[in-house]
Amino acid sequence: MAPRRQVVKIEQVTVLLGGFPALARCDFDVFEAEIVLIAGSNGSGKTTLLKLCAGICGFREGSVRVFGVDMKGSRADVRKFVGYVGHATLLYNDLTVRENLKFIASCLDIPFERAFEYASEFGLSGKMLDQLVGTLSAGQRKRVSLAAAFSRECELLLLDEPHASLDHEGKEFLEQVSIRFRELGRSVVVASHEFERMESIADRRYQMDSGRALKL
Amino acid sequence: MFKAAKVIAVKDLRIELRSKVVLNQILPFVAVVLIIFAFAFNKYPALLVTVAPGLYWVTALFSSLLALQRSFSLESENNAKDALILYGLDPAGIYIGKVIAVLVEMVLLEVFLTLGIVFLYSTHLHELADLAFSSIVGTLGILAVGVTFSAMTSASKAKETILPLLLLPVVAPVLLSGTKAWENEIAGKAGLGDPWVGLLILFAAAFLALGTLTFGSVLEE
Repeated sequence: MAPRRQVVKIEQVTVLLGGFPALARCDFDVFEAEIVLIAGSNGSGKTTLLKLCAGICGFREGSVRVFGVDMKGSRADVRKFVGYVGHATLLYNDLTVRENLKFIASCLDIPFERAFEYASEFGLSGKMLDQLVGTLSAGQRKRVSLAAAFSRECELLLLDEPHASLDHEGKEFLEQVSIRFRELGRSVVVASHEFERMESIADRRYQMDSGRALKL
Repeated sequence: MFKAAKVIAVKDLRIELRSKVVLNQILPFVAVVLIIFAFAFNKYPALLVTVAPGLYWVTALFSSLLALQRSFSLESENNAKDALILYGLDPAGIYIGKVIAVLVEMVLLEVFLTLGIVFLYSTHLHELADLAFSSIVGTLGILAVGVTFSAMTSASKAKETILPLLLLPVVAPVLLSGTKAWENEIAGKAGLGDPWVGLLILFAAAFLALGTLTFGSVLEE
């Protein structure tokens, strides 16, 4: 069997946020076609680690390579292969769900239909598509955000606390789509407090502790 | 770049059409400024005509500050600015799109402002096309600088105060040139060959080029 391609390789990385080391000599890696679960208490560095992989966070020491690209240089080339869902929804409250999805599809140059298909998978259809995002519940907004991220069909998807605000049905959708992504050779990294929920589908697990990622 | 610019401009204008912040908040601000000055100089109508060009540009400048802050508060709302970076949109396109969207809003505001100056201050405008041209180019100059500075300050806790502090000194040449160009045009002295209009064009072109080249680094910070 051919060795699996390494998607993310982080070695001895330190990230300072306001003088505080959010990541301290952290090592972390992700291979293709796997679901990696990251657990850890609040402030342990989960979000910073995901942002580092997404190329929206700089670092002070160490080495970060995503898809073989050194993230010390231009990070723009990597971003088209990476999807990220953080605590914030990255959506516009004054646009409807449909308009948000169309905007995202236009930005990414993907067919609108694909974005709507994923929205439908996450239970967003009918009148809800014409509701302003600002009037949706937190759980519904999270579904839109996840549908938008999955519709990119990118090689690496980074999900930061994706279960927050989601109901049981939403969590089921999330697991199903994550598994399907892995089957297609894509990688999904999930930082979550709901360790038990994702543990059954995760290939590898990390525990964040004081800015370090410990393999479990 | 042009595709990204179109996507951003359409999105911003669609949000404005829905939220009506320009109509409900900035337009009343312009009206209040016009009325306050009309009352303040009520006894000296001739003076109002004399200072009308300066008042026009000061009001346009303060209105553009509000419009610019609104434009970037949209991107801070749900960290949407991060999304623009993640989607890999051309930063130059984002910059141009933002400039276009705020320019459209400002042109509408300036039409209202001009009408206010004509009716409240009894100012006679002769060369409407020249006036419109100098106003649009001057506003473009303000926005060319303003969009970059707004992006730089949008993450700051004190963005409401930092943006005017940064922007006002830099766009002082627009205020001066715009006022002079308006004075000449009202007096029927000069047209598009007016050197003050030339300065407005130069300022807008230089800062548009600078903004287009540097906006990527500004977004990343």
